[in-house]
Amino acid sequence: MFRKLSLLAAGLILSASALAAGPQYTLGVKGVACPYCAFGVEKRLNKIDGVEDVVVDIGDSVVRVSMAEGTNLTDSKARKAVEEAGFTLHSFKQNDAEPIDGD
Amino acid sequence: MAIKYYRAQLIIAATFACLLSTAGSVQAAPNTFNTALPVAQGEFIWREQTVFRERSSDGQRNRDVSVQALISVLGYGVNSRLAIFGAAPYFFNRDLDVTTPGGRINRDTRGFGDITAFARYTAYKHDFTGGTFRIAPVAGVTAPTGDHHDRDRFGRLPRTLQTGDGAWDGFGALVTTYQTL
Repeated sequence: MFRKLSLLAAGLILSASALAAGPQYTLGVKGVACPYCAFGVEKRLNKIDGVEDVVVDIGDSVVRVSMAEGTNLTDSKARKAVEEAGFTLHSFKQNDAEPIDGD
Repeated sequence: MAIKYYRAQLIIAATFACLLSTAGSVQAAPNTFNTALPVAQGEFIWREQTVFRERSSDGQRNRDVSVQALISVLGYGVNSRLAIFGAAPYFFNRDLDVTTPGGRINRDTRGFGDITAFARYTAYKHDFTGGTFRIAPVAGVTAPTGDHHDRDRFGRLPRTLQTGDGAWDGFGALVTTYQTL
């Protein structure tokens, strides 16, 4: 009984956090070719208000950014952060939205 | 951060250095700082490089030179193109074994070497998916912070054994880096 209740509580917590998650973005970044480069991109993006998580996928040259609920990431903020890291933003897309190609 | 995908990287870095003065031996910074890859704006990078160097020469004097050092390098990104660096070598041992008319002797020393400060500006960059090509001039100075008057019971140590060269040295270089995943 206790186990079932624990599972139910965990499920509710997980589904609540999933519903509360903010928007997610996928950035195409050119020039990132090493983990050391990726750290710079991650650090600059993490300085933007509302950014909760940054995942740099070097192999695919994309950066996935998760925002806090009620916040959003703009193309100009993302571009500025990527350029401050020394690289080039070439695409910006809010997941489940049309991509904005910078080329 | 999670780096989900990482493949071996290829770094081709060519450095054309033009010493502005007659500097002694130049102590290299960690290799990753000899590239034109950026340091993110407002961020620091701290690197350590250990150096173990053994050198022998045959002949009458049969010299054996041994060096163990740790080079600390701090880099800071002023902006996305300009980065400044400082490098401080510490020699745990600079050791010379040599045969003299009086027999085989050992001479050694230790301590901080000459500190180097330099700036690097990315003059050209071409970023592409999974790689980058950059050209960055570098300029800096080496300060005579190392001891160049060190002595032992045989007298003043040879110049090559001192931890410093006793002079302010300036240098300039052009670094090109082509890096892909």
